[in-house]
Amino acid sequence: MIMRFQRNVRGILTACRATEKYNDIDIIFSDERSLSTQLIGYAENEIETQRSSSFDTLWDNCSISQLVAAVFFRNDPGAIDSYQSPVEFIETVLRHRKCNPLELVGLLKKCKGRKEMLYIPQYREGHRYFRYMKEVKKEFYHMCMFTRPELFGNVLIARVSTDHRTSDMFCQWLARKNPDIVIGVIDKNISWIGNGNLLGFESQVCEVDPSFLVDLQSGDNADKGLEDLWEIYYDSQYISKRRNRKLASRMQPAISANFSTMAKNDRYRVEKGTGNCTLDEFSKDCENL
Amino acid sequence: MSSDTHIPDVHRTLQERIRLLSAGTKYDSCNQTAVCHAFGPDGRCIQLYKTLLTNHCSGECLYCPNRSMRDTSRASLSPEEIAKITWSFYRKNAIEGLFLSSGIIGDPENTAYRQLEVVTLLREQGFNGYIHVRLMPGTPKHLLENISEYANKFGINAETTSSVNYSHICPNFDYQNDVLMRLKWIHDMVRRRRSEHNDTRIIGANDTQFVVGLLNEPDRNMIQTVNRFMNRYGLRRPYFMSFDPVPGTPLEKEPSSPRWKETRLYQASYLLKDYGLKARDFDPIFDDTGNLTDDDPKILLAAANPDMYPVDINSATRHELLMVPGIGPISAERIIHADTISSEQELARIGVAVSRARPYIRIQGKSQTRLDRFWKSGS
Ligand code: SF4
Repeated sequence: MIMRFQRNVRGILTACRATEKYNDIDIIFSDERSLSTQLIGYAENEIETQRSSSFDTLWDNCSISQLVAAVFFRNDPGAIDSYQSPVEFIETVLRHRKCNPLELVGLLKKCKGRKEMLYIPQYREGHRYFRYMKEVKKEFYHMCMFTRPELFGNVLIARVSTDHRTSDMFCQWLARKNPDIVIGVIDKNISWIGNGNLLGFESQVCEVDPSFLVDLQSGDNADKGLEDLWEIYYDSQYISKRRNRKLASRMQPAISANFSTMAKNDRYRVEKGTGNCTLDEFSKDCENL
Repeated sequence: MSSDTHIPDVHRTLQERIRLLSAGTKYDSCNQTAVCHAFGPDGRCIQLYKTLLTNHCSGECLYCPNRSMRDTSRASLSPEEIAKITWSFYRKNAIEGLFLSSGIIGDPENTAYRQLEVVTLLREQGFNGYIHVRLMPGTPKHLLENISEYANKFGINAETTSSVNYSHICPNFDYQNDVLMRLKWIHDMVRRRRSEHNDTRIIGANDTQFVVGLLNEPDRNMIQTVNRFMNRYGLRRPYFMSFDPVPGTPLEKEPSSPRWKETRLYQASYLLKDYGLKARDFDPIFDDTGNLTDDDPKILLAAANPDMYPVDINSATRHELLMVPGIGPISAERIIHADTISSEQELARIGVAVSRARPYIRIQGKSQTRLDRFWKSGS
């Protein structure tokens, strides 16, 4: 028997339960990109058979937390929260370009009910998937740190280039930060709209045709002169006596320069240093303005 | 005297004023564990737009570049200007919010009114970001209450560890009344706001800063004060600023405080906050003058308590693990919840700094002594 599941948290967790219940099934995953945590979709031929069996009707009505409880039955109440969330782990690694959902199901089963094993890996795949989680998070955090969107009228547009499926996460993050304006994120040939409800979309973040965002950019770019202002501010925060290029280069890595011109300039000044900007130095500088 | 020190505000460009007033806050730490957006060449992060409302000040704190008697360039920004710059940087995703401090405009009450104007304006405009207000000593209670409605974090700098020292360096204010009493009020307000369920803002803990190396205050006093503030005022993270003499101030001839002192005090404060140590636990590691030396306090504490080591990784309590150099609170939790650990590699994967921890641990009955030590010991 072949069963098909969606490539999302519910699909992965349900597949774990299904493989526990049936020894002789093969599972496949539908690869459509989906943010929804809707019910699993089975391969058409199997739907009739499986719908009438007891397990799917039960599981279809389960909440995600019930599914988590079923798969990770060995709860450790003392374990710290930072690595307690299997949902976050699964959601994150599924975004990795190399993630194989079948392998992931195998990994979850090897945890034998202990969710902390996802974060304290003890198997080869465990390490690999732990690394996947870190790579996805790193890409997301770097976008949050160094991407500098542009404001066109009442629309904030950000251009990113991701290796993993993270641009919708970034769109969501930016939308939460700026709930009063429309957000557009362009990731190569994929485009996302954030705060879509302001434009009449049903969901807060949704994929749109790239041409839609091009139309939205027709307003005036409100950022003129802002980068100069930022440079003045950036330089003012530097304590020259404490120059620490090694630390600064580590914190603002070379990759940051790929995210925006502002981050690129900041990175450049990390390498080169900036002029002094004490109150007294400033007085001297003013004479030369 | 430089030629521009008496240029009136109206003749300065916005750029000049931003530069002056942000330079006046560069020593203020504002870490709020959110997203950092840039790092300066000194390696410190930039996550907030930090500015003074004005560097005009009627105060006369001996170490401060803004003190009234000092001949320096002065400038101000209006609440509208600060709001506009904050918005622009925020939309550009270059900051997470605003850190607002000020010189004293007449008196603390008037200054707090002006600060309140800025935060009210931003919130009324729908600003969703983080706001941290550094208030003046002596700010009236009703204004603290008002500011707590809008700001995520607010506090008053203690600067020093005792009333006597404070009156010496900040002659306009009283330590007990203008600082400590305010810190107590703020602590009560923060607790109350946090318990109000309808308040969705993140309300930070009490916040204060100390100047390090001023008046030769021993580190022992500093650590005791921080410990007391944590207990009494809910202080979570103290900020330390190394004393640097500013030309044109009465302390200009005093020596700078060495940078490492700041780092060691931060490390000690983490040990107080996250490792459950008390101020008295540091007694064995102070020198004769009651100061820390330039070494990791945790390693010094381990050296001062050799009977505690080596610790068996698989049977140690949380506290025992936390006292091992190279093991922090998160890795300690992971060790406790992991299956039996049988190698250094497993510890490294969990996040332990194994090279630091090695001399202090035992894994499955074996001490992890390095060969060179083994041979040197002549066993
Ligand atoms: S009140 Fe503040 S700004 Fe004024 S002199 Fe004292 S420390 Fe400086």
